[in-house]
Amino acid sequence: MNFNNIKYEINNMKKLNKKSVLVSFIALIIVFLIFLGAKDSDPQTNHINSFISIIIMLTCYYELIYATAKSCRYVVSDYVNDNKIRLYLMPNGRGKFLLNKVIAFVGSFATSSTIGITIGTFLILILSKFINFGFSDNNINYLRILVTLVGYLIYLSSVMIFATYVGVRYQSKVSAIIVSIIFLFLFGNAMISTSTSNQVAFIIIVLVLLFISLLLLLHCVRYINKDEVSR
Amino acid sequence: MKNINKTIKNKVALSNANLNINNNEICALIGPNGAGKTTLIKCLTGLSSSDSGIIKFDNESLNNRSINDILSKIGAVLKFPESISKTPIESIFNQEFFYRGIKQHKSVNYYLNKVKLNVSPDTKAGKLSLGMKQRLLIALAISHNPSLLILDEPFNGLDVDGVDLMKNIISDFVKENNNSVLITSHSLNDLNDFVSSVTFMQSGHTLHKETMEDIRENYGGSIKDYYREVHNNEL
Repeated sequence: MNFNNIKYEINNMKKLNKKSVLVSFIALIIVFLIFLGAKDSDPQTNHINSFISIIIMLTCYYELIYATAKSCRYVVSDYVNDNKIRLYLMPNGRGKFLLNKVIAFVGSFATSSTIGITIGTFLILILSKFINFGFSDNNINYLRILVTLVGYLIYLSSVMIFATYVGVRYQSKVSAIIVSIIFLFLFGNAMISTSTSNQVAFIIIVLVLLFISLLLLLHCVRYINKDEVSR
Repeated sequence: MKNINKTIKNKVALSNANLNINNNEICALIGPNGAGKTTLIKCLTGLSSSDSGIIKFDNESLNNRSINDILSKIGAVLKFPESISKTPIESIFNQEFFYRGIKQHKSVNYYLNKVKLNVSPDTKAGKLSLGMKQRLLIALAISHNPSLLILDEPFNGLDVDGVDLMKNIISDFVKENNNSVLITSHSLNDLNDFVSSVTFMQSGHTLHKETMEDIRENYGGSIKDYYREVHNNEL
């Protein structure tokens, strides 16, 4: 890893990161408004803490697709077909180059997105003090919300790494998008139910996903180092 | 490059290929389609690894340890990367400077002027015409003062003026610091008046290098005539 290179990449993504804060904030507010009316029919979502966890995770699914699309633009496209020649001719070590790029992109994007979600969440919590949204239980458990936000950050980062890995390894932007959709279907229910009922299990799941994604990233670095431009 | 062998998907791409480029030399690598010219270039730049043989650059053998050092001395123009199409020219140069560790560099306009590219640095690379894109790639390739410039089919799709301009740019580059150029092209007539040597390639192997003096003497200075003769002999 080269911190100067990571810093440089993050600087190049400043615009995207600002946009990401805004997009995630707006997405959370829209999800909040949509599900505010639906919560009455489900007793579990009548608690403000569960409700917040659910809307954070639902927003996360939108963000997964958005983040993967941006990953395709900022990382994967550089490794598709002959585009990679330009990077491979740089005298920095191909693997290190990819590692720096992925760490910079995933780290800065996921953090920006989490900042947007956090601002949105706290805005809703503040509003709930003044406006009666009709929750049966209005006692806010800040620790629980914090755990959900940390879980969100890790889950988003992991899936972004998974999708980037598939996109780079198989040189296909479409494959990267498909992977994030598969993750959405595979873990969608599990993430929502554990985030509301069993947060220990929730954190364990996201940490396992992060561990696997980091292993895949290292595998991808080794693959890139040995990759042949044969066409 | 000595005795380079390379097999791709059970097909011999390079068979005991040899290539030698001296300082202050413009070496043309010619041959029919599929002869292995681009594969040889990819082996030289580490884009592809050879199965056997020796590749040396300034007496330094190409391997995992030396590849970065060697790449810093090479500028290569292969294919235009579509991924930079939406990026302004200035950002592309800044990326190049940063990743090649060039701290003291001239302005972007200096490099654009060098290749006679009269566009604003804010222009997105994808907006340029084919010839302009080629010139942009050359400007990027020479921005770190390489000692060897590799050009793969640089005349493709260029009009007569474009070819002449390209030839001037290449000649200037060689004159500047005793640099060398390796160029592949099928436009053989365009090579006659500015290359200094020619290496013919067919079915993955190379013939010995002919100097332009030899070609002038034996083929009236026509690389095309030389090509026809050796190609027919090889068949």
